Amino acid sequence: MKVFKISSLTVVCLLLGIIIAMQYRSVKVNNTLAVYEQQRVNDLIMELLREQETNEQLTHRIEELQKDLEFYRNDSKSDAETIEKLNEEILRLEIIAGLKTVKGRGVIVTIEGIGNAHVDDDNILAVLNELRAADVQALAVNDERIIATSEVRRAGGYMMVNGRKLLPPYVIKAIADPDNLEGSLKIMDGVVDMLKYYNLKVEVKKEENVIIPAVRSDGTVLRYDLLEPVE
Amino acid sequence: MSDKSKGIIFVVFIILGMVITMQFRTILSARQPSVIGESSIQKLTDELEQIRAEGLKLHEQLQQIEKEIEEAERQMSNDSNPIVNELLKTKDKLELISGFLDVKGRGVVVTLNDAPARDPDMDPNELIIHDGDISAVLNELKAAGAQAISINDERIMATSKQICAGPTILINRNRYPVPYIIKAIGDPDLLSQALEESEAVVIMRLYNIRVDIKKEDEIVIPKFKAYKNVDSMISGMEVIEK
Repeated sequence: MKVFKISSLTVVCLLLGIIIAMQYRSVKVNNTLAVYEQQRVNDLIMELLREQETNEQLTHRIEELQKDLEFYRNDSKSDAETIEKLNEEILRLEIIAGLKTVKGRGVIVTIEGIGNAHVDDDNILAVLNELRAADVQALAVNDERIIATSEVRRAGGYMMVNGRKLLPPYVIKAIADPDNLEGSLKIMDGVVDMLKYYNLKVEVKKEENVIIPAVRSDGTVLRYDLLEPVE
Repeated sequence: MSDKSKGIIFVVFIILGMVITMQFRTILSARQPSVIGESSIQKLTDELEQIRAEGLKLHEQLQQIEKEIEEAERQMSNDSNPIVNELLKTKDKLELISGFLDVKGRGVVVTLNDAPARDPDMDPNELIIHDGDISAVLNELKAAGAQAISINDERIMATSKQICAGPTILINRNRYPVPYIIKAIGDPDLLSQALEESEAVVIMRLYNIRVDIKKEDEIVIPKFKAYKNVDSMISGMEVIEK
């Protein structure tokens, strides 16, 4: 009788132990499942918003081109009108290609090493990329205009940009909505925090009048002799 | 049975009852949000597909209009005065320079792919390609004299954003999964040598990220797809004459 009592008690306690362990595990699994689903939903919503915005902008672009098309097809336009329209187009393309000195609201980011720390090309590239993500319209490093094919490479104590030697401090100028720019740079664990971690001194200043010079016109920067238009 | 052991059994059964109830309730409550989660995921996925289909239609429309404009410009250059012709030529040249024309030429094609996952315990962060890797590769190509660059056929402009987010990349406004195909027009020997010797490529290969560099005689790089209106690319700037 005594043996029966002890063994039944043992079995019950054993069962209880197993159940508690199971309980603990199922709660854990359920939690990770819920977190995963929440993550999926968040990702989908982000993706949706992005695609929606893209479609809106596509619609704008189509409207813009529709107007151009109407103008070109209009037979009653005068040569003077055509010339004016083409000159406008040409100016817009020159601005985008970086052939014009431009002025606008933006930010000026100054980066400098503290003590033995020196600024690396990665650091500058990271700032440029962050600015691009904030819809920047024009960029320059120490007044060298950044175009589509501009490199940023460290060589010893200086930086090569557009094939020209630049010395620290590096002053990055950007034209875009200043609040947008400042926010994306200074976000927690963002690029400014990262640079400070590398022992660099970073200063971000909003400016009403940022002037960004045109690309050097000596023919060494903007090269296109190997490009052939596709018909 | 002694009172003492009766008491112990009583307490054990109370705990057992409580645990079973809790288990039952967590299973019930876990079921519910998961059902809601799944249905909203389904709904969002459907919606996304619909928006993507709309986007595809808009892209087709855009291409159509671009073709018609080209046609209209050709017409204009046929029957108009020499000044207009000169301006049209300038415009074509500027479109070539600024990335608004499809271009072809000699160059290299670089294919980047995540490292094959062998060990499930390995940090997945070490197997994937990061923003820094892409921007380092682009930087090497630019330094070696690349004149036009694209990633997965998205033309790289001065202000193109390239953000890697996990296993995908966001370029200009579009998202692409791996492999990332980077095309660059320039001197193929200079470009491929610069890449092979670059720190970025050596380190990526050390981490088993697959980097394939091929020289090509004819590469076609598509023009920048201006998703937003071109005016909004320059709206914040005012030209000043030097």
